[in-house]
Amino acid sequence: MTVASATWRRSRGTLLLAFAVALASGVLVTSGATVIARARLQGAAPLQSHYYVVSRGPLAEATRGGLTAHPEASIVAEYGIDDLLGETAVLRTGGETLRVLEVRMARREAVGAAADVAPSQGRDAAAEVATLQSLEGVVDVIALAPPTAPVPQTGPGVVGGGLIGVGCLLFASGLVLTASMAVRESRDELAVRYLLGAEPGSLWRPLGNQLGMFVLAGTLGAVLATWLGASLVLGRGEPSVATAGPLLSPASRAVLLAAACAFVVGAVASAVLAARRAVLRITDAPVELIGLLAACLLCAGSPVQASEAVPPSDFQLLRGVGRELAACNRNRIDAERTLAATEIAAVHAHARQNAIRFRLANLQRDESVRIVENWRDTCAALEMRRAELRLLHGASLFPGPPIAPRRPPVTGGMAIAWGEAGLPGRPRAFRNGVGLRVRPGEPVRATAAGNVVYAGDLAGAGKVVVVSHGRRTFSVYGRVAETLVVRGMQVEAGEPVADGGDDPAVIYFSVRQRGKPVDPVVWLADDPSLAGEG
Amino acid sequence: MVRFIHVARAWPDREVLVDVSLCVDSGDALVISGPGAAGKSTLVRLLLGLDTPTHGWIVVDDLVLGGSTPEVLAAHRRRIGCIAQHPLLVGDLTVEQNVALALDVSGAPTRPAQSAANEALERAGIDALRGRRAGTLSAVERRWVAVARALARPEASLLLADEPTADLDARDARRLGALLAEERAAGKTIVVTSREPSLAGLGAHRLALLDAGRITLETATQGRVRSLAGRIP
Repeated sequence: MTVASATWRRSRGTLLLAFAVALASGVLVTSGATVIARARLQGAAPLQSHYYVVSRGPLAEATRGGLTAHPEASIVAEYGIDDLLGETAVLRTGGETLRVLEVRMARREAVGAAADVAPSQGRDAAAEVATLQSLEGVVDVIALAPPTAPVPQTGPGVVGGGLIGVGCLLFASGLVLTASMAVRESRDELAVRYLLGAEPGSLWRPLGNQLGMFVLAGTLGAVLATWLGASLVLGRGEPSVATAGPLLSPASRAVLLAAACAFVVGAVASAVLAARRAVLRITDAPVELIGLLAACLLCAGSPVQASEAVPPSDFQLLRGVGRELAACNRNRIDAERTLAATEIAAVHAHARQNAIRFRLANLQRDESVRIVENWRDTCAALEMRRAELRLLHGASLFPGPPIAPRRPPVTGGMAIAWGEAGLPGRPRAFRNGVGLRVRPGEPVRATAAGNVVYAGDLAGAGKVVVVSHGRRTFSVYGRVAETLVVRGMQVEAGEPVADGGDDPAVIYFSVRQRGKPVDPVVWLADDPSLAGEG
Repeated sequence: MVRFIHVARAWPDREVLVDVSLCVDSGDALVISGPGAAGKSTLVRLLLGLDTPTHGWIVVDDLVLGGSTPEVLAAHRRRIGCIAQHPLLVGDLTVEQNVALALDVSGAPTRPAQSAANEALERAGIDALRGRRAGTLSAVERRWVAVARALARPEASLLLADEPTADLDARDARRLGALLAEERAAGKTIVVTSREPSLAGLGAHRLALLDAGRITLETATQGRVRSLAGRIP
């Protein structure tokens, strides 16, 4: 707090200067770039408007229908995308997904002085493109190059270049001035800290704080400047950065992006440095910290190694393959998107009759097709692997020895059959199982060998015994008079687990496999030992 | 304990210190006196580790200063309470913050540093200036802030004052001498350079006369100093 308030008090003037310099130079540079870009756009506006309307193949009919609704639009020709780009050796997909309609738009005749023509053309072109883009199935609309070369306009270029030059000069001089002022302002504190014996590493903290604040102020100024510059030049109707963006040339956009990135990286780096200094200052024990971190990493590493030592189960393999397949599919979709984008680029290049760019776009498209094919092959291989593993996994779904022999728990007959529970006259409590009659004094026996996992009272079911037989199979004996086993006991098939009581009664018997109840009678009949005898 | 062993410091055109040997035991006080340009401030700079001798060694407690790393020298300076000839303060910080800076560089937490700073300001008698910014202070006030900053370091074993009474009147000089005596009573070693051969209020101390970079006289007690005062050039 003290350092921050002192830094603010000391350097608020310089901070404002940094902000103002970034703002002014940003406005100048953005304005210059926008002036040039707008002049270029207006200079390139065609006198007769022809467009390539790129539509998705299946929706091309809908696009044609939509065009008939506009009397000013007429379809001059229609192409498959391969007609325009040339068949490539490896292209097997994607090409036929797009159709290209060459459309001529009848335009109002411009009347007036030459100076008034350009803006009206710009507005018309934007409106036409918007109209075409609103049609169903349209992927892209490409304005075709005018038949005559546009007259080069030197005026806006000179003005824009001058603005950018002045902006850069202002920024550079502001940077030097601000940095030197920052050094001058923190010189006293540096000297005092040195004299008082501050650690050499922490000596530069005041200067670092100050420069960090300058970077933040500069970033703020630059962001505001981009917004202001775009809105100033583009007029009141279009006051957003988004509208300026597409007008700027790729080089200008790259420079602006790089400048913004440099500001952000600077701000983040200074914050990280400040945090590091703060941490070192708080702990005073970086060595211990590093040791602790190393110990944590080692501890985290050992379970990983341990898990690597155990071979993964089929289920784990299946899950891994599934994840890999999902990732591959994502990559495949991305690659297909890239392919579509390169096709669009190739169409653009063809429309502009730019031979070199067209050739490059085709090359890039070939590469994209190759990548897509690779991903498709990988996905197919993974699909096969997953199918194999599913078979394997199905085989080992119930690990462990088969459950045999299986015996009915009591000798009495069926009182409530499977699926009868809850029907009229039948208690609902016997759902998911059956009711078996038990004779007075007869014990309830384990249906198969297993391990008692529960023995005791259960709300709504009275006294209950649950036996686990392995292979994710459990048998449940409920509504018994008394349990004869405790949890953890091993029981054999036919060994008494509960007492039916002295009176005739009905006990609840249920079998669950993988968490789902199954018909106990079917389960008993499915005894593998019986099958062997049979 | 401070020990100068045959220390010499020479510039290309002249020798500032020539074969200076001095010894101050822990809890003792030494006043180094001499005319202007005699080499007093160079001695102080050497003692702070801001400069290195051309010949000889300087030993402070268990540390030999020559050839030490910047980190060791920084730790050495943190063990010194220093009242510089021209008190160097951070003009944008308040008086309290300036004094607390002495503890801040030692890594002390903010709150204890502030309370120690306030205590030192009270001892120096300038607690009324606590909230004033250092850039607005007069020369005398700056001097007292420097004194408070030197007093605020409880862990310092050496208190170094370079011409501490230059801006002060006789009464303030006596008060400063008394403060230094208190520090000495607390076990700190006191080294003072001054044009005046004695510092009122400091009590019994040793005196070294420095002239043109050489020690011309070294005495043991204050009484002796008084009798020799007339001989100081």
